[in-house]
Amino acid sequence: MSRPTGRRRRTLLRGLAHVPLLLVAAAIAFPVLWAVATSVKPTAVLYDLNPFAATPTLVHYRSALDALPVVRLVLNTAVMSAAVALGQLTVATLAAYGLTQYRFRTRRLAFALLIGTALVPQQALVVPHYLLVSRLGLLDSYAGLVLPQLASSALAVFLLRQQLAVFPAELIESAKLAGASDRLILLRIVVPNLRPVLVAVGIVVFIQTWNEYLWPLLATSGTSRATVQVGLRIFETEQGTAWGPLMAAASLVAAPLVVAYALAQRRVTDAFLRSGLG
Amino acid sequence: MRTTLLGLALAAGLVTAACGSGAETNEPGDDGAGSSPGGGGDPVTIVFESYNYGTEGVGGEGMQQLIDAFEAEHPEITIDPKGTPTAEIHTSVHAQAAAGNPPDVAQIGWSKFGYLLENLPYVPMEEVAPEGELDQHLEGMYPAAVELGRHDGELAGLPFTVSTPTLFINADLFRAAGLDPAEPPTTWTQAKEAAEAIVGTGAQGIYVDAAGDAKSDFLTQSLIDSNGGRLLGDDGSLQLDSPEAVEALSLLADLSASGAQPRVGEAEAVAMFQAGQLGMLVTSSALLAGMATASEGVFELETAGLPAYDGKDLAPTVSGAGIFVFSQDEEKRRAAWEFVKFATSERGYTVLASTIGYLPLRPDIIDDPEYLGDFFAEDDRLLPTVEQLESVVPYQVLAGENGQQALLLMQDNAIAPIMVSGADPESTLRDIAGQMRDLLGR
Repeated sequence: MSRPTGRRRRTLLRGLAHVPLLLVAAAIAFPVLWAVATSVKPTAVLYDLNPFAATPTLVHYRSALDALPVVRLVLNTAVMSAAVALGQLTVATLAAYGLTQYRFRTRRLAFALLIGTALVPQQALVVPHYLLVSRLGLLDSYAGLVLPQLASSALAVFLLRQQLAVFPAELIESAKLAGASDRLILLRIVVPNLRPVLVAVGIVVFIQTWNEYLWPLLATSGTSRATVQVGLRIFETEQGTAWGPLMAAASLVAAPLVVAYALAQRRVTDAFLRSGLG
Repeated sequence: MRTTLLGLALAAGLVTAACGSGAETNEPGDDGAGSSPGGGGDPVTIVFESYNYGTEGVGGEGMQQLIDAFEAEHPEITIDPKGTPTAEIHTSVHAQAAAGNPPDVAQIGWSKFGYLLENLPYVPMEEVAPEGELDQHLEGMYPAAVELGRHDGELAGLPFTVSTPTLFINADLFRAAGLDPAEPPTTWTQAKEAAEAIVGTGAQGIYVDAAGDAKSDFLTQSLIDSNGGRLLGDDGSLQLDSPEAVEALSLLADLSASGAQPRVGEAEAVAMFQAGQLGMLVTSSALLAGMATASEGVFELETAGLPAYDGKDLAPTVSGAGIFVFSQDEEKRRAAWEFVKFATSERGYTVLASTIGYLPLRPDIIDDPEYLGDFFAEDDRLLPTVEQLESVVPYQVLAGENGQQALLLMQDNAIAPIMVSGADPESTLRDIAGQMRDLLGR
């Protein structure tokens, strides 16, 4: 008799426990849903607080697509973000390996300096970066977009170094005794074992780069190499913001990331959980 | 190990040096696209960086029209336009100049004028214009507007896309509150009364857009100036905490405290007005064309000049941008002058006023049917601010390395709290003025 009541109460409690979670989820999802709702509102009722004020329209999507080469922008941003993520992972893995496996006198100093670079605001580096990329003749190219962002990998180096510092030394020692080279150890032992962290750091860097604004703005002109964040600015003008087309364009450019996340959701959460970065 | 590090450093240095010299030798080929330095009459391409160019709506269209009209008149000169948002354009010019390749011409906001004077390699107009042409060109332009671009007796740039504060009116809400939109308030006392009447109908009353990001400081200055004060004294000292300034800015606190002004940010207020829920909005006249489009089918939009303080003369200042030349090359500099001359000519201001709503800075073109006569006959909503140009006073620049920071401090830590969160005007302004003096070093 008491058992079913107990079970029911447990179910009820478990249900209640979800209420705060649902509330938080709704609060987080609200701006996104509002943006999508705004993107289908006719201009005349754009500021109406009732999201169902009038028949939805796709007119803003049409103006957004007319005004912006959305596919091109998404492609450019994806190429840039993927290249930066891969590049930073490569640099960071090598740096983290060097900082943990080699004993040299300036090791601590090197690490401190490296972490120090994370404290330099990006705006302060914009002019030197521009100078370098321009001298290399790489303005308005993918290489120009990516190159300076490889240098800002202090976070990636830090995270990987912390992981490598607690990596079982015996594994590397025994590989060394067996005569394995550093390259072999890195590729066969370190990288496979660090995969969850690498994936997690890669995702963080990818998203950070996707949202980057100032550098792509300066490094590109026109839309051939521009990124989505730069493209979206054409709706924000001195004469006010065209909210309808802006929200439509923002929904369009966010869609690929959302789809990618939906497809790889389990892997993404898994990577964060296993790496301890969550 | 040390030798390895040293070797790496040396190698890095060599690579950089090699790239540097390589680029130098390549440079003439790089920027030679379409230009051929040589005798006059040859085709020249100049880069024009603008914050209106490429934007969606009237701003982008208007700038494109200006460029098209210029190229039609000067087939030997091609404009290579580049659109950069207003907040980043000075950084962009700075970076390009550091790389030795600044744009030939750029549109830079007055609020960045101090930064421009200190950091950007502009070429003064006296050096850009051929002998005798400058004075001739300046004739017929509002003298107060020309003064905007002058620094230490030298003309750094010309007034280009300029606007003054305007009172935008929702005529429907005026009528609903029993007010006559044809008789807009001319003083702040009347404006507050009107706002309170509108609040009585359930809508919001008035919003003075003085607390926005850095560019709204032209409204802060307009308010102080119109109350007989000045942001900077004749000796360059900061006067933000002078009795005139405190009294002027207390208006913002008073409007909010009485409920006549909603306690919201700039973007919300503009959105509220466009949605037909706000009776009056005081902001830059540059918003007119965009506002006219947004209000279509929502409410009837009217305009009036900036209200005055009781018994005081109106002394608004301007927002917007000047046009500046950065060309290093003589041939390009000549082409840049032709473009600047056209952009600030009767024809140039006609395009900018009729498409975007920037002010026609040559009074003669307003009634002239060849220029803006027909435009104003059809829609006179830009007229109140044009009339204000007679009383315009120069925008004051917080010069020096920390000028921009001081300006942000004033907007974010004094004006916004006074207006939005009920901070006491006197003590807040005294506090922030002190901090700004430390920053400005005077």
